[in-house]
Amino acid sequence: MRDPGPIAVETRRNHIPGEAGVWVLIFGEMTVFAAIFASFLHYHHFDVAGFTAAQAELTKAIGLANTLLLLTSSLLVAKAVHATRLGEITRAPRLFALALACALGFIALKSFEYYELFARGVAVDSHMFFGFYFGLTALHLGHVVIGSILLALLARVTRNPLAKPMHYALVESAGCFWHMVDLLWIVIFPLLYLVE
Amino acid sequence: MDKGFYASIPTQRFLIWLTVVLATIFGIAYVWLIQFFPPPPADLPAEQVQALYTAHNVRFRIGTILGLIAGGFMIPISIVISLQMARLEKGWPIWAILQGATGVLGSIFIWLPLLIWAAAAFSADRAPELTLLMHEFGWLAFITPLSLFPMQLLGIIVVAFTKDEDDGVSAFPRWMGYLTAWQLVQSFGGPIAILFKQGIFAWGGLLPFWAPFVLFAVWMTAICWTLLRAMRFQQRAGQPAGAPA
Repeated sequence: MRDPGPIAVETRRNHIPGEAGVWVLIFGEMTVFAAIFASFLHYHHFDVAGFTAAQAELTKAIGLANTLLLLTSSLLVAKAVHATRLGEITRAPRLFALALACALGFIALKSFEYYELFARGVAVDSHMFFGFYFGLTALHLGHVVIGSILLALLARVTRNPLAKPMHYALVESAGCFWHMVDLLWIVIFPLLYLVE
Repeated sequence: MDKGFYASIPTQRFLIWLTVVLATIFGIAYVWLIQFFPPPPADLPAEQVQALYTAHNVRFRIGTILGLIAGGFMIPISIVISLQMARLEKGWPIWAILQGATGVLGSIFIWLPLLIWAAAAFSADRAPELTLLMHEFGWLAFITPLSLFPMQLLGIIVVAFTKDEDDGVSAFPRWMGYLTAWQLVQSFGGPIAILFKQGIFAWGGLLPFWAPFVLFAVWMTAICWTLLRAMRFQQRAGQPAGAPA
C-alpha cells in the first residue's frame, strides 16, 4: 500500500478531502434529496395556498435554532479535522465532542418539534405539506443519527495519534459526511419553513 | 492473515453463481409473472387491488412458486462474504458472524412476502378488503425490513476499512466500504413507507423502493465481482482462502 508520508503532507493546496468513495456516497445522497426537493416544489406549485397555510403550523424559531446548531457543529468539525491533522490529541476530541453535543441538541429539538406538532393534532396525512415535512425531516434525522455515531467514534479515536495516514482519510471522510448533513438541512430549512 | 482455516474456492465460486442464478429466477418471477414491478400504488382501492390478483391469477401463483424456490438467494452469498471477511479479521471473526447471521435472517423478508402474496392470490374471489389486507401486509413485509440490513453492512464496512490487504486484490476494497456505507445510509427509506400512502415516501416511491432497489442491484453486482476477483488472486497465490502454508 502506498505511503504518502507524514500526515502533514496533506496540507498541499489542491488536496481533495476524504477519498473518492465518500464523494460518490455524498453526491449520490444529494441527488436523492434533490429529487425530493424537486418533487416538493412540483406539488407546492399546484397548491400554494394550502402549502402556505400548512407551513404556518411550523415554529420557525425551532427550525432556525436547529440551523444554527448544525452550522456551529459543522464549524467545530472543520476545526476538529484540522486539529487531527496537526496531531492535537487533546483539542481534536474535545471539538468533536462539542460538535456531537450540537448534533444531540438538534435531535432533541427535532423530537420536541414532532411531539408538539402531534400534540396539536397535526398528522402525516393532514396535508401533503406535512407528508413532505415528516418524510423529509425524518430521513434527514436518520442521517443526523448516523453522523452523531460517527462524531462519537471520532471523539474517541482522535484521543490517540493516528497510526496510519489512511486513518486520517477516514476522519476526513466522516467530517465530509457531517458537512453534507449540514448542507442538506441548509436546503431543507428554507424549503419547508420559509418558502412562500 | 492466514489463520489456518481452509475453505474451498470452487465451492465458494459455486455459491456465488448459485446466488446469481436464484436472484435471476426471483427477478423473472417478480417482474414478469407476478408483475409487481413497478410496484402498484399504495393507495389503490380494494377492488382494484383484488383485480391485480384475479386478472392473471394462475400466472401470479406460478410466479410466487418460483419466487419461493429462489427467494433464499441472499443466503449463499452471505456465507461466502462471511468466509472472505473471516480471512481478514483478527481473532474470532465477529463481524463475519454478524454479517452472515443478518444476511440469513434478512433473507426471510425477501422470501416471506412471496408467501403472503401467494395467500392473497390463493382465494382471490374473497371479499376485496381481505385481499387488500394481505396485499398490504405483503408489501410492508417486503419493503420495511430494509432497516435490518445495516447490521449486515456494518461488518463489511469495518473490514473494508481495517483490513491489512491491498485494495487491488481484496474482496473488500475501500470503495466497497463506501458503497456499502451508502447502502446503509439509504436503509431508512424502508420503514418510512409505513406512514405514507402517496408520493415518494410510499412503498412504490423513490425512497423506500427505487433508490434502495437500484443501489442494491449495483451493490450485488459489485460484490459478486470483487469476490470472484479476490478468489482468482487467492487461487493464483496458491493459498486457497487462507490454507496453512
